[in-house]
Amino acid sequence: MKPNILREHAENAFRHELEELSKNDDRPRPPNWKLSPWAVATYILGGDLPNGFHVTPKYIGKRSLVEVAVATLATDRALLLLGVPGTAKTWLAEHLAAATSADSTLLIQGTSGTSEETLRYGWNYAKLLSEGPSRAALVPSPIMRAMEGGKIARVEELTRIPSDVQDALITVLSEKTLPIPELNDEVQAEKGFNVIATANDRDRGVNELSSALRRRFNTVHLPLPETLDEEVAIVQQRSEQIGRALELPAEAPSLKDIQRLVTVFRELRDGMTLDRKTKLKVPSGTLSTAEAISVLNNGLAMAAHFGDGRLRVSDMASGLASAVLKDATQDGIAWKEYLETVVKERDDWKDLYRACRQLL
Amino acid sequence: MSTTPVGDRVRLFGIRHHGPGSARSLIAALQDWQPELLLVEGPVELGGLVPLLLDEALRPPVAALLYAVDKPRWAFYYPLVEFSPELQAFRWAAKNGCGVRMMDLPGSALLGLSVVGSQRSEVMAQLAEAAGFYDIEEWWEHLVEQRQDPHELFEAIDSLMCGIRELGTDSEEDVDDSPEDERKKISAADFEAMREAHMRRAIREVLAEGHQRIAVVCGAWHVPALKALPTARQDDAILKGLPKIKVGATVVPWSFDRLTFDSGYGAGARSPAFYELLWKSKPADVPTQWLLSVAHLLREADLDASPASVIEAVRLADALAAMRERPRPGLRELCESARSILIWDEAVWSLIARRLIVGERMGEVPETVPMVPLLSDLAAQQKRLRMKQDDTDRLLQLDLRGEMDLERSQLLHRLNLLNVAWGVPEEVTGKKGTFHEHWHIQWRPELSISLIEAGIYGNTVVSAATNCAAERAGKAVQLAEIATLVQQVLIADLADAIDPTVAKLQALSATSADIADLAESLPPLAAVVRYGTVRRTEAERVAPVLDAIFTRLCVGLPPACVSLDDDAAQDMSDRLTAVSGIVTLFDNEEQSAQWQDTLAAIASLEGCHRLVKGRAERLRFDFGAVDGEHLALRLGQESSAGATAQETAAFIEGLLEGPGVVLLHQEPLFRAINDWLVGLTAEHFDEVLPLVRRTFALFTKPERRQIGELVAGKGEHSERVMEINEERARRVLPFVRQILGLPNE
Repeated sequence: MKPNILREHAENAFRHELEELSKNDDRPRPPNWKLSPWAVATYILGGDLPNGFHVTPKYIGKRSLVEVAVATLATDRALLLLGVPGTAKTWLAEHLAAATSADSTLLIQGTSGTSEETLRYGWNYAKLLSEGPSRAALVPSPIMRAMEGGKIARVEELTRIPSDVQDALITVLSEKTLPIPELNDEVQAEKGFNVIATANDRDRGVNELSSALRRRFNTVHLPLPETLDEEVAIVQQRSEQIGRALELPAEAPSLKDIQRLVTVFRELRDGMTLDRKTKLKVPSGTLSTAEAISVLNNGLAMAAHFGDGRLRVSDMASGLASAVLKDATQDGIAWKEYLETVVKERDDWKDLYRACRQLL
Repeated sequence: MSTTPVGDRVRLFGIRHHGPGSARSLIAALQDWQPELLLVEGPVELGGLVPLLLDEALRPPVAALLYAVDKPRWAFYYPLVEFSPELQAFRWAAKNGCGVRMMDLPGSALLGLSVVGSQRSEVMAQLAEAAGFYDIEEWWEHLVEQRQDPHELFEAIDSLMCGIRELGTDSEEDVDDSPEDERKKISAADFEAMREAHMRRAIREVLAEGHQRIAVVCGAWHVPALKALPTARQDDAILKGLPKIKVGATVVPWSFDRLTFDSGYGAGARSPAFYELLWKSKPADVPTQWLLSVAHLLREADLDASPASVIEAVRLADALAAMRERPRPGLRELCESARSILIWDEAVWSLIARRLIVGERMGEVPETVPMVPLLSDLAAQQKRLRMKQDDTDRLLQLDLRGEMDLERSQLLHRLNLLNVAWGVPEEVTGKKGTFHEHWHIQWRPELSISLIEAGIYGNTVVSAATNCAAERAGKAVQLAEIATLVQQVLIADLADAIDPTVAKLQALSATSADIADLAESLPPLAAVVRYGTVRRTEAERVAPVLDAIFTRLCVGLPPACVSLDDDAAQDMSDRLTAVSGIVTLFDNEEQSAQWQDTLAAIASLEGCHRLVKGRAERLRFDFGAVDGEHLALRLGQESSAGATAQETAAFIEGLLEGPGVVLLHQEPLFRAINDWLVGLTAEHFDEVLPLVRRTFALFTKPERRQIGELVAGKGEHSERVMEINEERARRVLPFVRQILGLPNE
């Protein structure tokens, strides 16, 4: 492990937990899996092991979703995680890969410029010219390497990849082989190989998922957190972890501040106050849980470097406003209305109101 | 309490009331032990119905129904499905020469008690959670209903329940939501104690009779209370002072949908369709069959569902079950797998989920079932008219010119008179309206109770409806009420009810002075007179009454239009419109003239709300009695000095309500309104803007666009002439010819 890395891979960051789980895991493991499906689910959802070791939850939400995801991987069907931005799709995919194959690095980031070579294999042209086509001149893609090693490959933002390029995955997923016509050869996947793809169903300008490909995926739809408490727990846990990683000297934010922040996000997202009495305008942004986490971290950084190390409302206010105001005019109206009709009226929210008001 | 065990002669079989696994295990156990007498948890009166339940023509789901003869609302349902352990036990007993008796509180006591609160055990829920299940239902399903091996199952249930009951129960008694009636109130805990005391009494009786092998079939919960008997005297003390009520008993069709409600012993079933599959199929086949039925439903809806996907779904369900350490997938695993592989769309899922989980089955009962006379009369008519009792909502289209359809319509109307809402009529518009009726018909089991209630009026549908109508006629005090009743009686063709209702109509119409009441009584009566011949009813008797009411209305209306506030004025305006519509329907010159006079009187009435005045003028215009010039003139008068802007706006609202074409084609009126609007001060404009906007908002979009064009001066009242430059138009002709493939000129 290198000491100065900004962000560790999941399998390194949680190495200890994975080792403990493996020690306590006597259930059958699918070929090439590092843990049994049951232990993978425990790793994701958290729990106590028979020897008293506590596994922290990585994903807070419906248990059954995670179970379907793990069971899917166990049946060698590819897994598609679908959801609006900020619903922990990538996060969940990374941890699933880390727990099943102890390697979350086989990653393809989908963009509109992703080509078939990125999904299958490319060539080292210098070698190709000097030696002619051979396996040595071939540059394998992460998918190809995952096939050879019986590991999990991840494809991020599948729907950003052009549709005809997406279809290159079909053979891989149905035949579990990757033909190399240039060498009259092929790569056959080892047991344990699988693909986890993520896609978001909110952003426009995204390519359709072809139905042929869709049929080869089991779909798990990740929802936004159902309750306030659930979301508060997510924000609290993540901001603590990130704060520690960034070595922020600031004190951990109080539960009350987190609750307030999450309340603002939920109310604006739903277009309704939590007591369901007042209707609100909905801003154009997603206002996902992930954004709430980053607002909080931003605030913590401000407090640590420019303040006295204690998170104050004013540290959070600017991050909050920039999360809400994605479209200057329309969101401005929604935000102002929310401040005047809801925030101002709440007795213990006066400080938040003043801080936000100053920035307008 | 000192108790003695029941001994070897009695064996207790604890079941779940609609559990397929319970049923399977129970039959295997009975076959194994060959009891000579079956004691079943069920009201004593149910014993008499057992032969009916065994009838070959009976198709579950059905419910045995006990009701208080004098108060049919007090009723108790005992639902039975094909996979009910009780029904299977009855069948087994009949085949094997085993006697059957009921042991629960008799209906005569059951129906006289009003139970407050409910009783449940938190222990069960905690145990289910500890075992890794989401709720008791799912836990029980896996422990018992999906089990194939009945060996020692009942012993296990026995010890499980004993353990749970030792830990105590929680009663919820704080909410008393039971209906107020003269029944004796009793807490849930006391009620349970009484029932169990009665069951023990029954066990003591059969023991005393000397039977050697007695099988007791009861809800698993009761097993601990029945396996040891206190002294007879102790139970007698609990059972002292039970009410005694006269009870009627019958069997009625039930539906899967109803089964999902708690009824009878408070034991509903969440997923009857899935349970049916568990009963019918081998357990290993259940996941495949269920997921195949998902695929079939999807294909019916023209959605993709390939066999390959079904195979994958089965695999995922198996993997999920394995992960959760269950022997085979349950409903939860199947649903999750289906939603991951076959159905991605929330909307599609919500469409088919109910059919997959609850199902749409409706039971049938044999003709030999003793029914209250009214029910059997209805059954006979349904058979004759070929109208099936069906629990799905269907649209029935009737052409009243046909004998059969006319009778169907009459039957539905008669039932509606009796508050048995089997069919809900839907308005039919257009030309067909005069001789077509559309009904939404859906049979719901609780309609049986409404019928039994209606039984106090008579023994056939016709006589009951007749008597019911006559009774309501006698009680009626409002003219509109009796007018509606007359209409109902005539379209339901209740010959004997016509005299009393029409007599009452005449009596009330002579004395009623309430204008609103008079006006509201017109539509139903007018409908009777207008459509009388199609329905072959005696409309001519109503016509003179209608004339009289109309005349009185014309006389009474103008004075009633004085001193109205805004709301009352709106009502009055609507009323004028409604009556006007009826006058058009009459097509009678004399009445039309009479109505014109009335409207003219209202229009120029001092102290009348301007909304009403405007409306009256507009209605006159619609009749062709006045022209656009007149309207413009009147608007000028109403907007001149003395009238506030608000009042003028009200007048305009009354005037313009309805199609906006009037404004387009009446140039003087358009100009008058335009002038008035333009002449308003800024302050007044702000004041009337909402009113005027409301008025204009009711026009259709094209109308508003045209009005807008008129205002902008683009559209003139005269036809616009399009100028065409022929020289330039000619130039495109060769190309058009080429496109159309025509020869050149």
